[in-house]
Amino acid sequence: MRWWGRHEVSGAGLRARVGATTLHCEHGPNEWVIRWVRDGEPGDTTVELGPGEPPEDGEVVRAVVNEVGDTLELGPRLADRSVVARPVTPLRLPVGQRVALHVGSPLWIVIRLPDGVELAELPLVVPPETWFGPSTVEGELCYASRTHAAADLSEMPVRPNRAVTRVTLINRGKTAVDVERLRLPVPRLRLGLDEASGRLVTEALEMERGEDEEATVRVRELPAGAEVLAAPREVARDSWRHKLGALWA
Amino acid sequence: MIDELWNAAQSWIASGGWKSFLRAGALLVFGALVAKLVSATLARTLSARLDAQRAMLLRRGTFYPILLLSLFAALRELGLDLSVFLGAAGIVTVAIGFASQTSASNLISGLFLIGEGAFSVGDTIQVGEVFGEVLSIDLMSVKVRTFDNLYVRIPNETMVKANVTNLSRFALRRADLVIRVGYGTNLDRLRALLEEVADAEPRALTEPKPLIFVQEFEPTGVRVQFSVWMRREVFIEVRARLQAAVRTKLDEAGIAAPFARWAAESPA
Repeated sequence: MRWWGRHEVSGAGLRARVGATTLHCEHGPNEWVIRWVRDGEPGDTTVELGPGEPPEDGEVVRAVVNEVGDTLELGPRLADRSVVARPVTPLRLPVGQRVALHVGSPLWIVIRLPDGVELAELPLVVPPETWFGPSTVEGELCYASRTHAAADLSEMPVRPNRAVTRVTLINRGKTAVDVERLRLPVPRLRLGLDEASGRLVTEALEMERGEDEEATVRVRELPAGAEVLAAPREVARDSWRHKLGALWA
Repeated sequence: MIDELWNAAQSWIASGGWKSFLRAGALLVFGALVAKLVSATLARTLSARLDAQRAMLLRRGTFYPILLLSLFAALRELGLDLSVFLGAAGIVTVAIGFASQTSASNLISGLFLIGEGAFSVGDTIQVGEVFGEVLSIDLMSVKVRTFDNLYVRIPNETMVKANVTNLSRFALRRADLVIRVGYGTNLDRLRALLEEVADAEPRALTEPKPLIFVQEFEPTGVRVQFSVWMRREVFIEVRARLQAAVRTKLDEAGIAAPFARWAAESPA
């Protein structure tokens, strides 16, 4: 299950299969050759690591370096844009309710030298792009995702290429809210490993619709005892106040 | 005759008139240098905060006034009374105005274009047949680099009158693909196939949703529009991919493009 961390690269190279993506790293005299192909099924949960031959087709990049060692570090990272999760079945939040739901988002893989120098970064699953905004003029480019928005974490399958965000929705407004889409600002979240469940998790989010119809998003901490695997891509702020439409619609 | 000139020149040199010429020249050169230095420094310091268009305006907006001031100072040094110029300026303006209607029209159009801000340096625009990237917006004309790397100068007057399409204004663009299918095609099945094509391309936006509708029933078949949104940077590439993917998908499903058919009946 655990695919991140330092790995020895032997003669044939390191072959890593994480979900639908197969990655292969080998070194030449002054370069690291990184090949990858996404040929698996979207729901694939395979994790295989070890020496192996490179995939026959797919994409390739040569990272030329001063010195080539025998170890490489693989790391997970959250998406580089916000993820808009659309519940599979419409979700309604009546007045005065406070519920915690679990929403998944796609992961990226980073290939680093042991000293932290990055060689390559690629998405483990290429998520479809989407637009989040009131019109085609105003808004933000995001990644789209479908979510079952499970209240019970154990209902969600453990996947090596997705992270789970716990989102607490609070409705203090005067009317019920239909949650058609949830925007997760994942570039501002930390990624960690929840040892207890063996899942990759992000910092929790709290989305509150206030009495004045304004929505507030707060970043809460990682689950207790979680090991931090990746820092946020962007500087996170404690809370953002947005118009209601900017968070859920 | 030559003696007279010689005497005049001698008296001019003796009176020190050449000194004022020298001073005027020095003032002009100094003014030009200062103008260049100030405008370049300002533009460089503020370049991080300004876009290419504003940087260009700032550079020109500081260079020409300083140069003009030094020109006035130089003329004063020569002993010319500037108030005469101001008086004459009105008449000269009218004369020049009549003589250079086109240029004046371009000049004023240029000011409008800059003020209106419909496009700026670096944008991709389409004006009539010209389609390319804006290199500069000057007082007389707009310079455009077309995508086959030609340098096109469009007079500002034309720009003001023509429909200018700015392709860089908004983040999203919609690719409209037109698909023709024969009358035997099941349109619901076609819709499902087209949705699959859009789903398979991650850069085709899921929202706004792709549009699929029948445009027209033509004599040879049905014309269907398939519109997909995407970010503008990938427009050309994704549109080409979608077009190819649609053809492949329809071929796999056995839906052929219609062709014109005529039925000929022989009289009984």
